[in-house]
Amino acid sequence: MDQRGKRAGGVDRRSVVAGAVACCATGRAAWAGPEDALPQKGDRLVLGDGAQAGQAVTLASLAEEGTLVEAVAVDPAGIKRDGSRFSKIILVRVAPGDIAEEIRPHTVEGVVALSGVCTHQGCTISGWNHEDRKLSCFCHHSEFLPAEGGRVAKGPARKRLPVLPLARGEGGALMVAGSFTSKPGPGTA
Amino acid sequence: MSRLVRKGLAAAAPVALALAGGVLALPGGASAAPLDYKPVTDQRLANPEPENWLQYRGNYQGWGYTPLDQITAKNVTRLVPAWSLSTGVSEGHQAPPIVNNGVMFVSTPQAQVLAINARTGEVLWRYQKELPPELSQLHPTNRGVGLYGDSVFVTTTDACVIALGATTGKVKWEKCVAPWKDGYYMTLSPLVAKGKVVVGVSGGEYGIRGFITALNAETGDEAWKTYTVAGPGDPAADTWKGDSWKVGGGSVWIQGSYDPATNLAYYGTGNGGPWTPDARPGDNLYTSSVVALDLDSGAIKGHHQYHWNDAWDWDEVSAPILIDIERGGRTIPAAIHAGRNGYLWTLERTKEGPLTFVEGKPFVYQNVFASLDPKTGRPTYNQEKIPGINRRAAFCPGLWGGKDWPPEAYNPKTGLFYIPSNDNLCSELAGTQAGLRKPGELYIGIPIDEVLNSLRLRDGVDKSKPFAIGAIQAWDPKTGKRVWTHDFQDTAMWGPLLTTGSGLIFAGGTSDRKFRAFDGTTGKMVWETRLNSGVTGVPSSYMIDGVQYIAVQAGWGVDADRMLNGLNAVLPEERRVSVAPQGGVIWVFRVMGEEATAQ
Repeated sequence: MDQRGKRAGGVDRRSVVAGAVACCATGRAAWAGPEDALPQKGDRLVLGDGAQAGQAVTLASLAEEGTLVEAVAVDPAGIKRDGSRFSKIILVRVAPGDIAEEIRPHTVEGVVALSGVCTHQGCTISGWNHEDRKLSCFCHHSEFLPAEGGRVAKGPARKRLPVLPLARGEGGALMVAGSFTSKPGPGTA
Repeated sequence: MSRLVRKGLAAAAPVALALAGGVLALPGGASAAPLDYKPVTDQRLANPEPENWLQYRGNYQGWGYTPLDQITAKNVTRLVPAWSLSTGVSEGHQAPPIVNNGVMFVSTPQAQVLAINARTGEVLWRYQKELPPELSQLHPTNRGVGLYGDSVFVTTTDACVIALGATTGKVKWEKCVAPWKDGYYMTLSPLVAKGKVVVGVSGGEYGIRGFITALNAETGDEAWKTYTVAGPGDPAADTWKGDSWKVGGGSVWIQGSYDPATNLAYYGTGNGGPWTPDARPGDNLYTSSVVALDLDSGAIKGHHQYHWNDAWDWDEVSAPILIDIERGGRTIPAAIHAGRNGYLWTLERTKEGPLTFVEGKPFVYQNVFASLDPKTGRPTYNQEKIPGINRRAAFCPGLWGGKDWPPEAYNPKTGLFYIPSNDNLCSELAGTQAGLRKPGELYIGIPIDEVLNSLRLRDGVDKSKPFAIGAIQAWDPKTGKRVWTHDFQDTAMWGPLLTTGSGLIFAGGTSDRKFRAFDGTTGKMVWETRLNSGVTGVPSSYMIDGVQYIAVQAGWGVDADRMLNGLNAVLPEERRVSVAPQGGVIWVFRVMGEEATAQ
């Protein structure tokens, strides 16, 4: 027999929501609030960390190559989509000519947005080696290539980091132009 | 005594794992005589039968010793697999196969427990908790189940304890002891005694405040909770400044050892957090220590801090091994611990709890301690070996220490204490301000690139030719001297040790996927075989129908894999292990030949 575990005391709402967003990269569960949904087309991006947290992410925010920026999507009503870890967004800027053709339409002037959650065991991606153009994860040392659409450069991760399509908004603000290209979070290719 | 029905369940047929009235139901499954399940009692845990392996290290004292002696240095060359079983998951498989009267319980990564017929390998039931989808797992592993009565207890990486029916695999209760979203998790096997299930939390890298807690084995209700980071009201509160204790780390990685005679449990504790010592001035009790807890109340009755204000990520992961030793013409009730800080510590236990320093000696190259106070064992430090905020330092041993979590062993017949060690590896680090803590996010105060590129070889190591890193060492606790060392070249050693009544040692741990046997008196290797994946599992031994078995999980991952990454960065390309396959398999060995006819 297979005893799949159930949480004692019932399932909390966040867990249900997390399960919902985990299975549907584009949608939002009927019972979930906008804060729990993944980034969607029309959202704007704001800085998620540091002294300027909450301010709009613009091309100027990534003026210097070599910077990794953590961002949060904000829906048109002004609600931050920070209810799910899978909504974590990281942005880096590389030379536009280095970006693979197939993801170039999802980028703006060399800025690539990706899921900030490692596809191995779900840790937060926070290392960026601009020299090697690699993102890295502290937990198990997986590496990813943003210019190649989040392709795995070194495991143990097996699945690429999903890319979040970007568009340029007013005043150089970066906007979300579509859903993540695949399901964020742990998984296999 | 409950009856546990076993049927011919194909291990690789998950479709067969369907509930059918609480009884294993597999079309065409051959039935066999039910297995009797013998409830586990305090008496049995305190005096385990040789044919069983009832807890993490076999006994409360943490020895990693089986009195079984059928497998010897002479016949071990005829050791062959009796059966094997894929666990279906990858990552670090570190738990020992726990065996009670012919029933084996194995925990794996991803919150899975398997109950297996220990003689045939038939799966009796399987439990797997669905972990929160958003959970991040820094250490996707588990270090074993605890048994008590008709229950099986397991901890999970979302910081919960689950009690399962030993004969059914059904959940009896579940208790989450801390919020995983705040960075808390658990990997350790529970210590079970006197109706209590005792566990501790990890999460020091996320800025948690560590604790040990006891739950009622019947209900899961909390009996007590004791922090490993002293806060207001604790006599050691002044070893922390300001609010640093709130995020002070002190993870509890490994099951405590326990002395039923004194009712004291001994736990090793993790380092302080963040890693940079200047972020938390003071000694930071009770981090990087051993604490003696009264099992009834959880009160800390004694402690010894191996090193203060840690700067090197030296968790003192393991609980000490409890043995009596002869020193200076008297018998000392000792607590012995091979530290991640590279020193072998001998302490004297007292009935009341306080621990007194007896001896500390380096068992690998260590360049941080300038001296030890001869009375207290408190080290002084070479200042240039202390990394900190905006301060770079190189130090030996490195981040993973002289011995990480893999447990030592003690053999009362050889009288020797065995250590799985790593030498000639150092680290170099520089820290930054940790900044604002965000729940569930890394909080170590060291840039990630610093950590990933921190591994260094000891000065003077000639890497143009193979050199010793991993080793098994044998020490004589009576003399405090090393008796032998078995070195491994170009590979670290991440293998927990099992020692037997015939004087053998079994261990894996090297990156070549080999599982080996050694003569415990000489250190000579007497058998080896290559398995599907590297072995970082705790080996165990048991006997059924007169046949002795050796059981272990293969399944490379977690810190062994992290260190391999580091080694590959410093070793010449032709000597790197570039492929370290993952995937868990339970392996069970027996000697082929006349001993096997008992079946």
